[in-house]
Amino acid sequence: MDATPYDRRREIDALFGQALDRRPEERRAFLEDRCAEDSDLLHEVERLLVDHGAAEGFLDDRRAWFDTSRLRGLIGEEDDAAANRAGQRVGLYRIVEPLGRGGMGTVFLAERDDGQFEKRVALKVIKRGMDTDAIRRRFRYERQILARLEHPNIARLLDGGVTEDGLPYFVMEYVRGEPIDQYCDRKQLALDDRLRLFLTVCEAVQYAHRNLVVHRDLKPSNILVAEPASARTRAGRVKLLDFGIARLLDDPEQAETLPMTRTGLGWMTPSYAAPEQIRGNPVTTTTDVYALGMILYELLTGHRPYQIRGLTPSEVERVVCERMPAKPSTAVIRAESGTDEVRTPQTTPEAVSRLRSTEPDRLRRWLKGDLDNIILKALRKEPDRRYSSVEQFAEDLRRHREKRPVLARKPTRRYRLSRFVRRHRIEVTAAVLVVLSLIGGLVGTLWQAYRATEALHKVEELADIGLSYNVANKAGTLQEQQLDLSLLLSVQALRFAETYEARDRLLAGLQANPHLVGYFGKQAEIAALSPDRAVLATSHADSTIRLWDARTRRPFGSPLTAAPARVALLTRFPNNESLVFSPDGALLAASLEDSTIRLWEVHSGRFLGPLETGDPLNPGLAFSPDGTQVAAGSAVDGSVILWEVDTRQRVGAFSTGFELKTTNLAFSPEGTVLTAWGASKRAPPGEPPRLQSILLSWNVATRRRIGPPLIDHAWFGTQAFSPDGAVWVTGAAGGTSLVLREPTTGRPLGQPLVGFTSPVQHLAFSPDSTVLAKSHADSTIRLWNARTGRLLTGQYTAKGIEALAFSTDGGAVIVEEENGLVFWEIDTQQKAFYLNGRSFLHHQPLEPGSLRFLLKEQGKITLVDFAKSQAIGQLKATAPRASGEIARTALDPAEKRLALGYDDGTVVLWDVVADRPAGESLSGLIGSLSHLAFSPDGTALAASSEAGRFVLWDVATRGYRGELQTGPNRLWGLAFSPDGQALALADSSSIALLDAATLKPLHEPLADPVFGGGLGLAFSPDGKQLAAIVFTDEIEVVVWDLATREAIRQFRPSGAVGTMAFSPDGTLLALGTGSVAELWDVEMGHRLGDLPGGEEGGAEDIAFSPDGRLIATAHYDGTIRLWEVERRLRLGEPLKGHTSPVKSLAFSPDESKLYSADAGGAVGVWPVSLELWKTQACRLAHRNLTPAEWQTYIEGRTYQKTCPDLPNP
Amino acid sequence: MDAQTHEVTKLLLAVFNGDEAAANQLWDAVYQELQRIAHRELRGERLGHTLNTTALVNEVYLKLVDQKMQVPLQNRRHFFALACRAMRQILVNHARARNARKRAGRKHEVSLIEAGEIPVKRDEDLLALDEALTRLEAWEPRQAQVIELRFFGGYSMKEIAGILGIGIRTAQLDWEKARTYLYRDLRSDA
Repeated sequence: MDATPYDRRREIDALFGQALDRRPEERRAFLEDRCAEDSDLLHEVERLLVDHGAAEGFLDDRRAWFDTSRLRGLIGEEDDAAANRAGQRVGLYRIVEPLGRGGMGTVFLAERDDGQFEKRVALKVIKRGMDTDAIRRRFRYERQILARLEHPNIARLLDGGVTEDGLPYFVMEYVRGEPIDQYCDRKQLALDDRLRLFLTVCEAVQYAHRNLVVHRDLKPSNILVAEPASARTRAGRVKLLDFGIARLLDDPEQAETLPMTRTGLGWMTPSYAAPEQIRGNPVTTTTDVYALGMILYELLTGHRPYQIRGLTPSEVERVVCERMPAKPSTAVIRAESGTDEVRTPQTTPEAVSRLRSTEPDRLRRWLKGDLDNIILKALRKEPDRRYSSVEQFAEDLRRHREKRPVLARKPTRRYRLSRFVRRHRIEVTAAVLVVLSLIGGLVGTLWQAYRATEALHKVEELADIGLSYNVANKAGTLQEQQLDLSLLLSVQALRFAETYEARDRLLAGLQANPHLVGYFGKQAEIAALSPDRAVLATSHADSTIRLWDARTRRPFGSPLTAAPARVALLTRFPNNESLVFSPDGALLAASLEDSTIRLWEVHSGRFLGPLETGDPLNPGLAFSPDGTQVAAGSAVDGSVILWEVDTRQRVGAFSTGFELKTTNLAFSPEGTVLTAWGASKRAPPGEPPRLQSILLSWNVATRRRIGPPLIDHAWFGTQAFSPDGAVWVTGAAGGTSLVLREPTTGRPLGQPLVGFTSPVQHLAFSPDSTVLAKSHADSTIRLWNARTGRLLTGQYTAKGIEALAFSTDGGAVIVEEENGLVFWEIDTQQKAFYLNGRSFLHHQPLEPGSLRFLLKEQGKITLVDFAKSQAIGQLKATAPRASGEIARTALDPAEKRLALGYDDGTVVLWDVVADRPAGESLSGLIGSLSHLAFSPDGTALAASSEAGRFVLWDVATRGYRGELQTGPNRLWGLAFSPDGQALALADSSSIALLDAATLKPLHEPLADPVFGGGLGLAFSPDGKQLAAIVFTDEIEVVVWDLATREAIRQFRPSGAVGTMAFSPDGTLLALGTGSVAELWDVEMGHRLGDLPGGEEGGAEDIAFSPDGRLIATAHYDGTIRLWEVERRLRLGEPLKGHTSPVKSLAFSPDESKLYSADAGGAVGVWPVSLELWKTQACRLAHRNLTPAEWQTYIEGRTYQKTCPDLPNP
Repeated sequence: MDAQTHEVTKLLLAVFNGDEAAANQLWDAVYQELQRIAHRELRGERLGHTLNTTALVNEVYLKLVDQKMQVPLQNRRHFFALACRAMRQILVNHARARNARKRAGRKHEVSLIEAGEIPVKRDEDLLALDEALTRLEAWEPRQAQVIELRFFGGYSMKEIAGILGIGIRTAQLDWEKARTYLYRDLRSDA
């Protein structure tokens, strides 16, 4: 069978299933019909049918398979052990059976012999020849330390002593698994999976090191990996064995006198021993680094760094201590036969690659470079030239995996750039994800996942930390600095939110805690994040500049030295920066209060020196876009000086002709034009002196000024380059026009932008350079086409505009106004998001898509609840009929008519479009209306009454299509099948299925002696099931399979059900009871949860939105509530307006409206924006879900629609 | 609330995040807990009964999954599928261990122990079935899961349909088909 090709097997399997689905006597004919041209297929399926008959009862006899008396034997307790120690007691333990034999002795499986039989342990009996007294003494001394080692990846040392026959033994946690190298090979793990597994090992070793325990004998056989969790998981679980054992067995006195003895004793594995161990020199944590390097070498290459099989001890010493191992990338192209203990008999490049699920060439390329360097650094002969800690080693591996620069390589700038480029090749979508990830420095895998959502939850976590900080602060337990930084990072991350949605979500995450008190850099004054987002620089009031690993939030080296003064705090002004990373992130430049500008190498923290100049400098600086030059203004003559970054030598100056205090230096995107605003008290010759602000621009190459200076009489003018560098826009302060210019000539492009009366305050370009936003002193924001100068429609207002920017995707204008940040969605011209906070963000808005959040001041900043739920609908129409109580409403699928059924049996059709009654009332129904429904095609309207009357009207003609009188019983339930062919009617004793056209019964009634009839009915969306609210005390809702006419599900809600609705996909059933609306899973028959009704009582009616994401519930108190289905979150405030109990609800098919009708006759038409609701649902979910839950959430149903920039799972 | 329960529930939620570490930990937790209670059950006095794997799996579910945490349906389904898989693993591992011990040591053959009047299958049978099921898994993963849930988990067709999110009829057909394939596979083995 396995030889059958997949497609063929599929075909056979399908046909086999179809045949089985038929009666035995029909199968033959069915198969002959289906296999007319394929007799092989026919025979194959027939053989299967024969086997099917033979297999009857097979596997049904579970008792025979799982009989307890036999299984008990399987557990092994009653089994005799093969080894002669089996059954023997050792200390508190009884030996069960031998597990293995090693250099040290034999390992047994044992268990506590004092009734605690759950405890299975590994018991190592050390072989004769070791100093038992010394070991016993040392064990007593060391056990305190070893007992402290509690780590999920470290097998615990539990006990130890000497056996009755005088051998030392150790008791350890019993671990299942296989050595890591075997595991990796058997699973054919790819290199990255191996690395990941290895990093877990590193973490465990790190942990032990922090607890002052060195392993000293790390080797693959001491690193066991347990079976993988499931088929979809490839990585197993790691346990390190024998931690501390080597130390216990190691006799320091002996070691000093007989350095070679230990090797000679043979319990140490020379293959993995470090040079210092071979030589008998002191062992430190770097010894473990070496062993880990050996293990990694072998895991990745399939080779050991050295060939030492068959060597004498002195030869071993020479090899291990002197020979340089081959680079891993070289090792993998070697072919060796039967190397030292390597399991593969023939180690060829092909075999090695196959075990790593790759090809030789790819394997080699993968190793070449970083991994070569990292591994060789770990394997240095001199302990102090290795990584000084396992942490560093692991961190470098992580850096490699994340394609960041590794430490093991000389950090030349070119190299750093190449890493950056490589990294961004993969990142594809969004830098934001990276930045968001780096907030989540706690979890390294975030980076790998590139998931904004996860990172977002990190932000939430940070927010939680912020809150707990308040508590913890009292106890003085938390590191203030760390908290400061984490929150600072959250804010910084906003800068890089690549899309409006990402930013939106991030903010939603930040506001997870509405009363969060955040400490945005209590001591930090200015912050800057490197372009590669790897490093954060902060300047502090104590004149230090600190660098932080932005991902781990740990200090990145020591504070930068040689900063004699504070970094200048600059006026809030576009492009006015005093702490700046070079565009490649390699350098940090700071403009200090002592009027110097100093440079540091970021990676090493090395001070490079100040920019060479005799003059004091104005604060503020700019890097040229290519990073080779820096510009800053001279405080002496007002010129702008240019330095070469590499040499810090002055390479030129731009004369201003004014004694100018320059600020706001900016290069055009291509670096060809430099502009500066300056303030001058002295006017050019011939003009009376007064304070002026002057905008100048130069050609960088020729150092010639472009065009005449633009002089203004107030402090602030405005200017900006479009991101593509094609347009330079300038505006005079207080002016009411803007000029679009050609940057290299300064010449105007077309007409000035006029047409507004209020002075221009702020400018921003959309990322694609096509739209220009301007804010005005009159609190309006206008958008212009930056190419044509045409005013675009739409106007946005804000109170006290402080700054302006576009979201990076251009979808929103972001405004900092008086009390917070507003996101104006350009498409809808609506306020999409509001972040309320009292001007806590200090930023520079000119860069498109990036608000620059800097610290405004020291001290704490409060984020308060800013996501106010917005009015999302309103009551529109009222009272189509003055009297009578509306019992039911129904919405015509064409969405033109609403049917209103009154208690007195009157039915009114309401023209929704015209908002008035559509003709006279429909008549003919006798008795109080119990149910009302349009046919799926909208041409017919059906109504039933409690008097047992049923009427089917033709909507167009208003005439009868049919009528029924069901006798004395009340008619309660009424439902059309989704295809409109059938009609279900329920009275108190039975449920009838009728042909919708003829009203003739299709089947016998679904009468059930237990269930009786139904109160309400609902077809599943696929029409295959029918749910009924039934008359009984116990079972309230029953679902029938209409094909088999069997009741397949029964639900027992918490109370009497008044209304119900299937979700559009048929998986859920919402039941309205007197107190709550309950959601049930139809397949599982589980109650998923409730939509609480509160004091108002449960749902009078329930409606699913057409996509199934939302539920609207109608309430007795006149409110309508909206819920998010998956998490049962209530969205926003209840819709209010109805003054009577809301009886009916219906969504329009396009989701644009929600109709409601109350008992007093008022009809609500709620022009709802479901999208807005859903966005809110997303935000709410973000606030309430863990990362994992969130992932599940967005994978469910149709959530991608409103959480669109999340990666598809 | 039990810290472990909380932890496991979080793992269960995290698994759908593609969190492999969580998947591993979840597996370990389920496996260990299931093994623990299976051993407890087997150490009890009531020999000669069929191991009620369904009860064990349900117990593990109730013990390890916080019922208040609103675990989404698909995660809950996953849990049951996982637990039945762990049940299979535990039973097969025991059989394998015992089988290995038999081969290594005693010649005492226990091919047909009488427990009551029901002949007990041999360890080899269970191991062979496990292998055949693994082979089936490659072709028909869902059918194999139905076997796992029904045979190792002891669930009814209705419950299986719920766990797998398929109809009862589909589950029944999967069972019939899978059983035929397994039967055929094992017969050709013999």
